[in-house]
Parts: sequence; structure tokens; C-alpha cells
Amino acid sequence: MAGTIVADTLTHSTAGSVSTEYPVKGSAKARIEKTGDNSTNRESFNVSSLSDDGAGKCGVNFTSFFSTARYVPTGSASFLTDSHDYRQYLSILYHNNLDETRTTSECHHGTWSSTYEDAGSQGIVYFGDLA
Amino acid sequence: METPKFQGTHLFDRLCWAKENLESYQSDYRVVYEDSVDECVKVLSADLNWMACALQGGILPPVWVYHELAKDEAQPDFKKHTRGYLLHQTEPIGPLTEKQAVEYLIQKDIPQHIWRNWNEGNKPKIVICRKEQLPATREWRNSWKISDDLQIEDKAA
Repeated sequence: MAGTIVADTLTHSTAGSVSTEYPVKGSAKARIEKTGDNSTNRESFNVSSLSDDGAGKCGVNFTSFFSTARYVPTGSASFLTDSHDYRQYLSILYHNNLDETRTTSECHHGTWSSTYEDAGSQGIVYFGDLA
Repeated sequence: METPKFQGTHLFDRLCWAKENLESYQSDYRVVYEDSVDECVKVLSADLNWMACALQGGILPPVWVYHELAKDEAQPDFKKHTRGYLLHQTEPIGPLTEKQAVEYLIQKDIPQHIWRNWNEGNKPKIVICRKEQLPATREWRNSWKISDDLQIEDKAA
């Protein structure tokens, strides 16, 4: 591919060296920025679809799968109104815990304010190794 | 724009190329499906960058690749994918129409037990509709069901 640099190590003139494995393995492998009602994903990478699973619940499907289901999602959610105290329960599923249904291809999320409720918007990134 | 010959290129790298070179496409199609009779319906929407890849062709692997990986993951002793190369080494599919892309996505992202037997039982468990056919507000979102007497041009849920 044109413009490709193949290197195993990056070396700074004074600060030392770092293996290129760090940015390759350490960078986010997927991301999504979407409306809080899960009706529209507005910006994304490595996402094939978004599933609106009910008020405050969604599933994000990946195009290039993770190698294991032990990848790490993190993100943020905006308040829908000032009177609500939204907290995003990323990686915690509605039934017991996420481990029961999270797969290498799909991750479920929810936004919570005494019950599952739609947030104003959500942004989520995923870290981990790809298959 | 012509898609480079991507067979053998990591799927992630293909997506990087697509992000850089293709216009995203927001489809109006939605897939409404019933995962459990005890729960409200789920509504699947295609990702705007993924849809651009599907329409372009030469980027995405055939859907059977995803089914093979899903089979591996369903094994009780599954720990890690060992056949990820299928995503990268298998010849990519050609360009799809928007409808074909939605059908592909159904087979990729919706559980097989739903779409394989979509028309068995008293009513369809899965419906493709347009965004505007969904209820306009989410006030009763957790009560959405597929209509019993679904007709073309009706609201889907």
C-alpha cells in the first residue's frame, strides 16, 4: 500500500525508544457517537450497526471483531434535561452482568436514571485486540 | 473511486481506507425485530460508514465469515478467535444495493434464530421498514411491538 512505513521501533533523539506495538495495540479499535435514543449514529468507526433495544438500552455491532470479549469500552453520556442525573452504566448489562451477553462482535450499553432512560447523546470508544 | 485489491489486507485497514475515501451514507431503512416475546422490539439501523463500504464493494467479507466466527465463539471452551484470518484473507464481496446491504446486515447482526424462521408463528418476528414508519415519539418505547395486522405503508411498531 502506498505511503506505508514499516517499523518496529520509534526512536527519539534524546527521549528514548518505544515499540510501535504500543500504538498498534493501545489505540482505540472502534468508536461511536450517537443520539441518546439510539435512533442515529452520527460518527463512528468499525461499527456495522446500532441496535435500539428499548429506552436507555442499545447494542453496538462491530465490523472487525475483537479477538476476545474482554475488550474495554468507555464513554460518556449527556444529560437530556437539567433535572435528570444520568449516569452511564457502560459494560453493565440489564440482566445480571455484561459477561452473559457481551461477545466479540457486539457490546450492550445502557443509560440510567432510577431506571433505564434515553440520554441526550452518547459517545463510546472500545480498546482491545482485534481478531 | 475504485477500491484497491483488498484481499489479504486486514479488515481494520480497509475500514481506515473507507473512512478516508468514501462518503458516509445514512440509510432510512430500519429493521424491527422481536428477540423475546417478553420484551419490546429492537430496532437495528445500519452504520453510516459501514453502509458506504457495502455500497462501494470490495471491502467487506462475505457474511458466512461472520457466521464461522460466531460458531467458534459459541463453543463452550472458546477463549480467543483463532480464525480471524477469515475476515482478512477471504475475498471481499462486491458492491451491494441498499436493500441487499440491509439483508446482509440482518444476517450479520441479528441472531440467526430470528431471521432464519422469520415467518414462522402467528406473525413476523422481523420487519424491514423506513425510519418514518416507526412511532414518532419514544414515550412508550418499552411497549413497542410488531403490529399484528401489519400492512405495507402501516407503521411498523
